[in-house]
Amino acid sequence: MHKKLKFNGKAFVTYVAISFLFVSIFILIVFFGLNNKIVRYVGLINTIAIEKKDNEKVLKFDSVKKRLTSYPAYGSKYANIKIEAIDLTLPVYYGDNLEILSHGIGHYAGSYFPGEGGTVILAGHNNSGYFDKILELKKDDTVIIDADYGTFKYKVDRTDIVNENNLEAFPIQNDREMLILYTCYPLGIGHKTERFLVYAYRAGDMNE
Amino acid sequence: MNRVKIILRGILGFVCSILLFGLVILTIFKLTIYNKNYVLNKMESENYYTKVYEEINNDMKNSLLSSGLDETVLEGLVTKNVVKKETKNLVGSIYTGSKFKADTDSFKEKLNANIDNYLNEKNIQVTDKKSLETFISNVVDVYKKEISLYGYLEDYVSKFVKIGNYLDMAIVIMTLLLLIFILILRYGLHRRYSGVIFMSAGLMLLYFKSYIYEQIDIKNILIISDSFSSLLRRILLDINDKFLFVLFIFILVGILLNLKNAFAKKRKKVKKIS
Repeated sequence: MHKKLKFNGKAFVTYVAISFLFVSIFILIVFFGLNNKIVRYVGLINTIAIEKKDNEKVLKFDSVKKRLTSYPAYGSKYANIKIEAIDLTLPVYYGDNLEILSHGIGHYAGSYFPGEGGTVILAGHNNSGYFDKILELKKDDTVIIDADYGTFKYKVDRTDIVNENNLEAFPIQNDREMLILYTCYPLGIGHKTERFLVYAYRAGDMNE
Repeated sequence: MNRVKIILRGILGFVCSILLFGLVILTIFKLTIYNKNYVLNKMESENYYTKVYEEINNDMKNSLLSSGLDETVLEGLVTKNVVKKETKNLVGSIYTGSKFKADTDSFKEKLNANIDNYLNEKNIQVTDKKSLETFISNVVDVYKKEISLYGYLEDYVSKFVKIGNYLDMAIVIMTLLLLIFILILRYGLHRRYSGVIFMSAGLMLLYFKSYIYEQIDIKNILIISDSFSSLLRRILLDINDKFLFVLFIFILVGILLNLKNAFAKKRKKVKKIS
């Protein structure tokens, strides 16, 4: 028997074509049958994909609408707070988790930004080098927020000591621009259940 | 009859490709996410325990601010060995479906002792005992949350274990079906489709991998903690590499088998003539 091994190119091409046919059918099934499900699950996974904060973001303020046109990334520094009366200058970060508060003053993310005409809430630890000295603030002392998009001046109106769970002491409103600075109270050892608050209003709004 | 045979070959060939494709996916999951030793090895190679240790210490230091105490009260509270031991217990409980309980008793005991020493050294009298107890509870809570990944995984453990139980069964059934259908194709329908099956499965894997992985923003995944996210990213990238390796092997094997089958076809034809 004459055994001749010769390559059958046609058969090879047929096999490859059948492979691609199977893959095409597979792609159609996935695309028309499972695409919505896949997109949903991939979307869910991507909700936990957070882009690295853009520290170079330029903040712009719309003075007509009295709103920022873009907001700083969570955890990024966007201003400095300066209080001459107590010789305080500290960085202000967007957000107020423990990590942020270890670096400076935290801006409560549920409050307005300086210049937007509403309540701005800033928190700081009562340690030396943080907000310990705000306990010395008095009426008419000046507080300056020097933000990347502008400088805003406030005058202290009053101070108060409230329970940590008293949310009414932190009214979120936009009738007039109010700055609330707060820290744990009293100084001492352990967990503090009270908060020392400083209420200040935008300079020029005091007599309204 | 010929037409029926052709259609049957086509259907069986397609089904075998899908079975092989599915088998690869399930096997890769079985060897990675569903393999406790794989996960533990990845934790070692990613320095996971060191990262968790650093995160715990950092969070405890942050919670110290405003407490009136300094960092000396944290000395010796948490060691890398303790983190490693607790993390291995957590991983073990996930794979057995049992509830994980962090060992906070010895942690609390040490913290109390450290604080007492600190107060005695500084000669500080604490009048408000409750505020100190609340502070201690808060620090213990920080430790417990970091070690147990904030309890996020607890909700998914039972589902994870359930899927794992079905995984082995699915792999066995799919392998048996694949073998049966290949034998039917080869001896019943007289068609050597092994090359086609491997090549199609390889191409399907290529499409699947590209489709899914192009859409998932793996490098920016951030969930629970930085250390966990880094581990998760590493595992997902490793799975991606495994897919890539397997699909290339399959496509190569498919091409070689198709070539072999093309030669074999010609040899059969020559036999007939003599």
